[in-house]
Parts: sequence; structure tokens; C-alpha cells
Amino acid sequence: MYSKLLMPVFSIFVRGLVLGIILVYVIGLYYGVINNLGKNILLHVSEKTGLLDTELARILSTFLPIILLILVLPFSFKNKYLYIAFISLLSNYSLSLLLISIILLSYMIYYGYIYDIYYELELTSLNIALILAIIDALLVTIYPLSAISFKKIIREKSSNILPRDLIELNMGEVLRIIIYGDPHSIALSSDPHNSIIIVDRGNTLMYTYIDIIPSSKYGGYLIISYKDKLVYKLKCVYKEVNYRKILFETYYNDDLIGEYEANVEDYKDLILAFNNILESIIARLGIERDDIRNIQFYTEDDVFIPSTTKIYELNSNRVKAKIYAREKILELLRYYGRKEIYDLWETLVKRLEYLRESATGFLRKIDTVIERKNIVIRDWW
Amino acid sequence: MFSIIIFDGMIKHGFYLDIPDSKKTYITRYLRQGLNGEQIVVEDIVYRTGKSGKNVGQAYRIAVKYSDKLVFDEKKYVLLVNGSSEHDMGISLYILSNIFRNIDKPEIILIVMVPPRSASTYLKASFYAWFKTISLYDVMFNYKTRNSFKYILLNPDLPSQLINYLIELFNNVQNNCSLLHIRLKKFIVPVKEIFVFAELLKYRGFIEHIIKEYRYILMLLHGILDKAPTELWSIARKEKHVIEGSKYIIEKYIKNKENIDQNISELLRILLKGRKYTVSIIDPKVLFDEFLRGTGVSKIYRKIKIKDKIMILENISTHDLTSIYDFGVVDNIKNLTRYLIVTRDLAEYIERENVIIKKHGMGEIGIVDVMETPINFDCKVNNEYLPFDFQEAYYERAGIALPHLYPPEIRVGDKILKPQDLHIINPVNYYGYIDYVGKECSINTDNILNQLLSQFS
Repeated sequence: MYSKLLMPVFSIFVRGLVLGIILVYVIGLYYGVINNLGKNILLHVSEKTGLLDTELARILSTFLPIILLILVLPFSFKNKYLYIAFISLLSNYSLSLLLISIILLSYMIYYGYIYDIYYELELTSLNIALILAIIDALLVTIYPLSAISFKKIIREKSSNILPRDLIELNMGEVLRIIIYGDPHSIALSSDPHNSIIIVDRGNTLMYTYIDIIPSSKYGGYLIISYKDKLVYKLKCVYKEVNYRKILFETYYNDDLIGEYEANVEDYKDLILAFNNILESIIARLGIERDDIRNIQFYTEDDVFIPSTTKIYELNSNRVKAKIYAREKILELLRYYGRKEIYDLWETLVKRLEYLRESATGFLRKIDTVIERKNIVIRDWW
Repeated sequence: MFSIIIFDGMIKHGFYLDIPDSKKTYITRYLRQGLNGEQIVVEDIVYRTGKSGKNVGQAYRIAVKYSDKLVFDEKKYVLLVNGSSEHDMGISLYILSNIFRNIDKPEIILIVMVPPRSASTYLKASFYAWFKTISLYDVMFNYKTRNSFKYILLNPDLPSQLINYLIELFNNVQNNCSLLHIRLKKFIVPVKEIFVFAELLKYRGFIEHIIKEYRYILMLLHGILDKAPTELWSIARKEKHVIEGSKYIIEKYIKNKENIDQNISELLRILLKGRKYTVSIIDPKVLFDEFLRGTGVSKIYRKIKIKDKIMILENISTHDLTSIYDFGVVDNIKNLTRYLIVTRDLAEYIERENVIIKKHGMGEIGIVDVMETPINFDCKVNNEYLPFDFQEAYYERAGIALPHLYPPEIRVGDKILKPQDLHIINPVNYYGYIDYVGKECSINTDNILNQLLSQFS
């Protein structure tokens, strides 16, 4: 149900319409048109109760709507995107006018009650004002001040889509989620984890947008929540995934370590497609991921290929991948001449022995801490 | 000075009990090793002959035979009975009637673990009959001496720590009596726990660091060998064992790291979710932050506005506490007393009565609501306190097995009650009797009880 409510048609257009109608009623109420007061409320109350001098009231009542508008305008537009700001403006303006009307009418009724003057007309006006105020407040508090719509983007061309349970993207297409309203209350997540990748974000005057693609052929569920409440759960997959067999001629610090072939989805970036091979290399060489400083890709003719090139844009199926990593051994060995290698060896072996001997004591300390934790846990029943 | 009598079915709970100024006596079915208290063996004939047929009546008769061993002359008693053991039930009845006869102005607390819902009809029937008999004892004891008898029913799966907690509570408060229905919850500021958590994290970091260092050194050694002159190789060959031995050490470290990880996640899980009767009143992340900053405990208390939190807790609704017995329905209580069991460091923030200060520990507030519960099945007072299937089981069995369900006779002063007499009255306890005596609905029980009690007025 939330998903229907947050479609721009309802959230912005219909709500804006309703708020506009309410605003018209409110203005009508203020100027005394709706309830046959004949003049605007401030003037009416001043005349009947002598609250303000009539001339002063006339001037004030003419300027009051404008002053309110000026006050409400920046408040509504601050930190908001255009459409939602409009909705906010309509609502805030109505509410502020209603507040003033309610205060004046209540005073009028109180005055009438004390001095036994007929106040039936004001009572009905007050009722109308209260009802309008409640509806207005509900429309901007309970109804989330936000809207979400979807587009499919491919190479500068975009097409609006209605969110269905399954979204199929063509090759090279990207799903754009457009968020009108506060982007911080909308959270995106994927199920299973990491099955959806965010490729782009941006802001325009009217909305923020997030571009996503599925990270593999199997796609995944895209979960959109508004303030922790589920709004959409859409399955995103690629309609047809084409694969290409790419051969990576891999170099590690300019030493050829092998040729690895992989069948990769052709919508992927080159660096993403190389990721699995990279992980296996890291595992085999026993290095850490942080040690790798740079990965560069070249064609067979040694022409540089940017890492974010898509696979389908490659001209040939052979790519040279050059991994540059920090060589810790070399760094250390650089400082030692031949003679000192013996000393280095000694030191290292001694260090190993020391680590081995301190193992028992250290492991015993760990057992003590775990025992202490067990004792503490015993109090939790 | 409590004398704590732990019956055979509650031995595993007895191990845990640690009450100052108390003496533990175990009443066992056969000689057990390694008990931390005096042991009186009341041999279960069934155990010896292997025949089945144990029942409450028989256990009582065996107890009579062991009367020379079952001698008690203290004034204050705690009895821990397992309602799933007829041995426990029978012998406890004997001991109670003994105390009634011989001790002047005793103070008795009876804590009994109810049989599970899946128990056999036979057991449920025995328990129902035993409950009825105990409730009668409740009337007798409290009529003769005010506040001399209390009894509490427990769920069958409760932890020993909770029983210890209850006994400690009643060690300090004396003014409740009869059947007590208890709801409690412990609220903790997990300072100790966060401290242990931090230590575990520290050691985890250490281990990771050491494992990394090991790997690094091994890699260096291999790298050096690669580029070294051949003379180094002969030295290396002599120290081969060091390098190969370290593989084994690394595995040990890795296993320990996984061990620490498991312990950390267990600790975290408990901190975040709490347990059935214990919860944390502060988000542990907030506490951890403060701890890392080196804030002292009293400053932390001030920061988290502990006084406000405690005030909210003091007025917490009874329904937010967890009941220790939830098989039955309580629809009528006579009195509710709320006790607070707090550790010394939090005691200064509380100004009310009925506060008990816990000697050990910190950052703990236990809220215990003790409700004196009248029972009078005839007048429909809390007649659903035992689940209905217990009563059904009793009526199924009572026709054929009356002597099994009750002691052969209960001597009250000069009057004797036989199983037939006990059978015709329905469960009624002290408040159930006092508040409803003379009313139309309790005519049945009044007839028998008025006679019995007239000798004590």
C-alpha cells in the first residue's frame, strides 16, 4: 500500500490538488466568503469585540496573508526539493492562516459567551477551520512527504516505467530511482547482500536520483524503505545476459604469472570482471588486498584501457592485466647488504622462537578472560 | 540461620546455592558423591528392587521408617522440592508434619518446581493431591503462628540462579505468607560486561597482530632464502624445525581467534537481547563509547541520567515483569509488595522502603513483585492457578489410587486426617480459608477445617 501512496501521481499531484482545494477554502474562510461573515475574520472580530481599532484592523487584515506568505515561503523551501517544497508551502500556508483564524474565532466565541452575544456563525466557522486544520496536518504528517518513481536509462535516453515485481533491464540499461523529498529517509538495500550495485547518484532541482544495476546474472531484490518501513521489494535482473570469454594475461610487478580465461557478463566494467581472478591471485600469492596499489589494463598492442570500460566495448578478447603491489620483502632487503643477511636471518629465527614460547602464556591469558566472561554471563538468566 | 533442605529432584539446583548463614541438607534416593552439604539417604525401595510403583504415599511411609535420620530442630527452613518426583513430595510432607509437631514458631519457605505440561497423568494427579495437602499445611501453620509458612510454585525449566535469588530475597524479608505468586526482572547497567567485552576485543586484536607477524616473518624468511647465497642455506637447514614448528603454532592461534570471536558474539548477543529475567537498561554501544573515553562509572551514571531511569523502573507495571510461574491464571490477589534488590552503587539513587542491598556486584536493580495469593477452589478463588489438566488427571486417578496420592494419615494435634477426608475437600490455603470462612461456597471445607483448627485458637 505504501508503494501506491508514494507514486508521484498520488503523493505530489493528488495531494497537491487536495491541499490546493483546502487552501482555497481556507482563504475563503479568512475572507468570510464561505460562512457569510461578509468581511475577513480579523476585521469582523475587531468590529464585534473592539479588539483592535477598525482602521488598524483593516490595514492589518489586508497585509496579513502577504506577511504570512513571506514568512512561510523560506521555511517551506529550505532544504527541500521543488515539488515537495510546493506541497509543504501549500500546507504550511493553510495551517498558519487557519491557526490565526482559529485563535481569532475562539477569542470571539469567548467574548460572545461572556457578554452574551450571538456567536453561532463564529462557531460554525471555527468547526470548519478545525476540520480543515486536522485534514491538512494529517496530509503532511501521516502521509509521508516523499515520492518515488522509476526510470530506465540507456545512453542518455530515458523511459519512465511503472514499478512491477520484476524489473528486467536490457544490456547497458540502468535503473534510475527518483526520489522527490528528503533523500535521507529513503534507504536502499539489496537481498542477497551486494547483489545490487549503485553506479551513480545525483541531484537536480526537483529530485535526487540513484542509478543501480544488478551485480550478476542472478540479479537480486532491491529493497526500498521509507524510514524503516518497506515500500518496494523489486527483483532486478538482466533480461538476457551475454557473456564473453576474455583471456587475461596477468602480470604481477611486471612478472608474467599466467593467463586466465573467464566467461564474464558483458555489461560489467573491466575491473569488476577481473575481480574474481584478482581474488584468486591474492590468495595464491599470500598477499593482502591492501598491498595492491594499482591494476592497469592494456590491449595486446599495449594500448592503455581505462578500468571502467565495459566488456562489450572491448575490441578483442585478449587483455593484459598488470598488477602492481608493494613488495615488502624487497623494501626490507634493500637495507641489507650480503653480509647482513645472516644477521637478518638470525633475528627473524629468534623472533619466531620468541613468539612460539610466549604462545602458551598468552593463550592462557586468553583463557582467563574467557573464564571471566563466563562468570559474568552467569548473572544473566 | 537457614536450614536449606534440598530434595533429590533439585540436587542440580542445590549445587549452585550460595546463601550466607545457611546449612545445606540433601535428601537423596541413594548415596551420591560430591555433594556440598550434609546428605541424608532415604532409600527409594523402588530403586533397590527395580519395581515401579513409586508414589507419594509410599514415599511418606518410607520416610516414617527413616524417622530417626530425618530429625530437624532448626527454626528457619527452606525446602526445595521437585514436583516431578514422588520421592520429593512424599518426604517433604513427612518433614513438614514433623516440624509442625515439634518446632515452636517455625519459619518455612517451600519452593516447588511444577511438573511440565507433558508429564504423565499419574504425575499430574500426584501433584494435584500434593498441592492440596500443602495448601492445608499452609492453613495449619499460618493459623497456629502468623507468617510461619510460605510456598512458591516455579516453572519447570528455571535456572538455579533464580532460585538462589529468591532465597536471598526471603532471607531479608519476613512479612509475606501463604502462596506467593512472583513476577520479577533484573535490570542491569552492564559495566562489568562491557569491561570484559573490551578485554576480549583487545586480545582479539593482539592475536590478529601476532598471526600477521608470523606470516610476515615466514614470508621474509622464504624471500631471503630465495635471494641468499648458498652458505645461508646450510645454516637454514639446521634451523628448519623452528620454521616448521611455527606452522603448528599459527594454527593454535587461529583456533583461539575463532574461539574469542565466538565468545564475543555470545556476549554481544546477551548484551543486546538480554535473557528472560535479565535485561540491560542502557544501550551497550553508548556504554562502550563512554568506557573507551575513560569515563568513570559514577560519571557514566550521571550521563545516562540513571536517577530518571531508576524512577521509571520503580514504577514499572507488574505486567512488564516476567512471571516465574505461568502455568496458571491468577485472578485474585490479596496483597502486592514490591521489593527492590539493588547493588550498593545504585542504592543511593533510591528512596523507598522494601529495598534490599545486594552485597556483591554492581549496576544491578532487581524488581520483585510478591503477590499473596488466596486459593479456594470451592469459591472459585484462583481455581485456575493449577492448569485444568492437573485436576482432570486427579479425578481420573483418585478413584483407584487414593492411598498412593496422600500420606496414610496426617496428624494435626489430636485430629487425624485420612486420604478419604483429604479427598473430599478441594484446594484451599490460608488466605483462601480466612477470607471465605462462613461463606456459602466454602461450607464443605469449613466443616473439616474448623474442627481441625479449633484446637489452636
